Amino acid sequence: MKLIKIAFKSALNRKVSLSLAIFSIAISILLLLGVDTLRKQAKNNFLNTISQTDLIVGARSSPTNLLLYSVFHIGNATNNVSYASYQDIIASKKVKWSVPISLGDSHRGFRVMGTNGDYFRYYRYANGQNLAFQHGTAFSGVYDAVVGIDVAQSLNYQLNDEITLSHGIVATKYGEHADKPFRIVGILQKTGTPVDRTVMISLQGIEAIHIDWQSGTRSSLRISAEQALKMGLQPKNITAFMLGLSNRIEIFQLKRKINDYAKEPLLAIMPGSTLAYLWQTLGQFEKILMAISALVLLAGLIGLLIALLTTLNERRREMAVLRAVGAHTYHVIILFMLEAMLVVIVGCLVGIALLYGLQSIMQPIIAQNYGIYLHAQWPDTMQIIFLGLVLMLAMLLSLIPGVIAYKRSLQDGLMVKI
Amino acid sequence: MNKNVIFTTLIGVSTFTLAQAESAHQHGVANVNIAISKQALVIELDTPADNVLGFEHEPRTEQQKQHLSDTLLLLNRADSLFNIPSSAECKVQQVKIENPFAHEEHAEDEHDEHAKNTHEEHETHSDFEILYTYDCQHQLSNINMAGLFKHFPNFITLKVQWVNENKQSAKTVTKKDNQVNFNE
Repeated sequence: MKLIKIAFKSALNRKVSLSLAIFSIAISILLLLGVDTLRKQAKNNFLNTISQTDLIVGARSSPTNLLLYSVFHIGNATNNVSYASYQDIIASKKVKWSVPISLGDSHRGFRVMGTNGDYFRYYRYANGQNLAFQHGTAFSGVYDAVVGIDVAQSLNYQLNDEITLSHGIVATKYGEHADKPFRIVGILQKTGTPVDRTVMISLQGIEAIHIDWQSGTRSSLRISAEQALKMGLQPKNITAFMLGLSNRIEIFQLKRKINDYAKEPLLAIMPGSTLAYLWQTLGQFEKILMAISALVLLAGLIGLLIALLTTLNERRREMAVLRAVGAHTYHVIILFMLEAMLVVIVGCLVGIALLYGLQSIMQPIIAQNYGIYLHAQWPDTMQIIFLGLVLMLAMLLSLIPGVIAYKRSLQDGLMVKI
Repeated sequence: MNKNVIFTTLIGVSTFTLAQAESAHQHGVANVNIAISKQALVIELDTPADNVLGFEHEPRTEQQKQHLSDTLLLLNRADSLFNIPSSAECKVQQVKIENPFAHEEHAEDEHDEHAKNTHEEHETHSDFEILYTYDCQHQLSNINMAGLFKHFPNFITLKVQWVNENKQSAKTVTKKDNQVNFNE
């Protein structure tokens, strides 16, 4: 107990160099835990976003691209799927259910997704959970909208509020579909998936807001919301669709049939296996990132060692006096260990605090741009074991200055120097 | 800072991982699709002829013809290629081989069109498509593919995609890492 007090008081005398050491340890801990946390949470997020959907079909591009834009709302579709092809494919007896998806519009930075009522019936996330409404119900009219919980909370929306949608993903004034406002009829419960950040309307709604648009700009012909309703809002295109099969054994047959579809170049993917392939590739990057973080930590620990070694000269007197008043040799070594532990423990705590601080700042930004939700959580067992290892390593390193100091303490410090 | 790096990487990677699953004719590589639903188990093996046969042209010499029929016999022996835990009690129901050189031996009616197609291109590339259908009594936890690598040393990687009642996933199976687990 006394030793801790001495170590602490002694450390106070060298607070500048030690706090720099603490800081460098904190940064490396932040980096290591941050990379690890992000890796785990991103993976969980991805795996939990879609469940029990057998196939996703879109225009022919890469499987990863199709998966990312259709489910995670990352990136954009390369092309559309004609509604006729969609209906042709879902007419197959192999198909049990289907959900069309139409993307491309936004509402104040949130993506708008056109779909139909089957979305709320068949879309599953996490371990097969259904979407549930916190308030209201699914849309029934053309100008009805359902919003995810994050949309409702961050824009402070209630049921029956009116919203206008914008053309394109980036909101611009000129692309506002202001003449056809939508009414919020439902707010979904939190899912922790990109659904939370989505405004959902019917395919007819998507058709209605684009009815007086041609080639991406508004034509001079204006059609009012009421007129549009009478114009038979049959969608011509959708962005992608999800499929559930009556019998999973036929999944590869149907997939091949869609990929060989003659009328239009289509791509059918299995979301689970596409994710698995994506993660296989990312695994390499994870390893590299972890290796870099480990090296940064090593640099931090060496920084600590340097801080301890450079003070050796200053502390000759201190050690000698301690020995003179009856301190054992091991007391000297323990003093150095205590100091190293102090630095590492405080460094770890600061690092963890920084991690949480950074997470809460970055959380909305990452969620908005990448649809990935970070949850602040306690370090898991692996991470705690890891922190323990760091502490042990620091103690081992502190033996070096400890042993040097103990060897010198007697002959050195009390000798009168000329 | 480091978070941004990861995500830029993530998006970057996504644009070049690409057509992994549907990769076209590539020697050494084959696609294996596994579907499990209730009692049924279906394994599809889609491979360039070179992997199983060692050549991709029409068998010309007697030796090559003999080799082709040996290969077909071997491909028929599902048990020696896929090792399925005996606890699942799976029995092979049917093995269907789509042989690119089938017009010499026998052409099934339903595959006429396909055979014609492959015929046109077979001077360059030919593929075998084999469909194994099983009937299983119990839940299946894994399939080991060491047999495939043993009997056909030309295989380097198998791109396995699988689906069962709960999950779908994928794995790149190699000679060393030769097992697909369905409960991971």
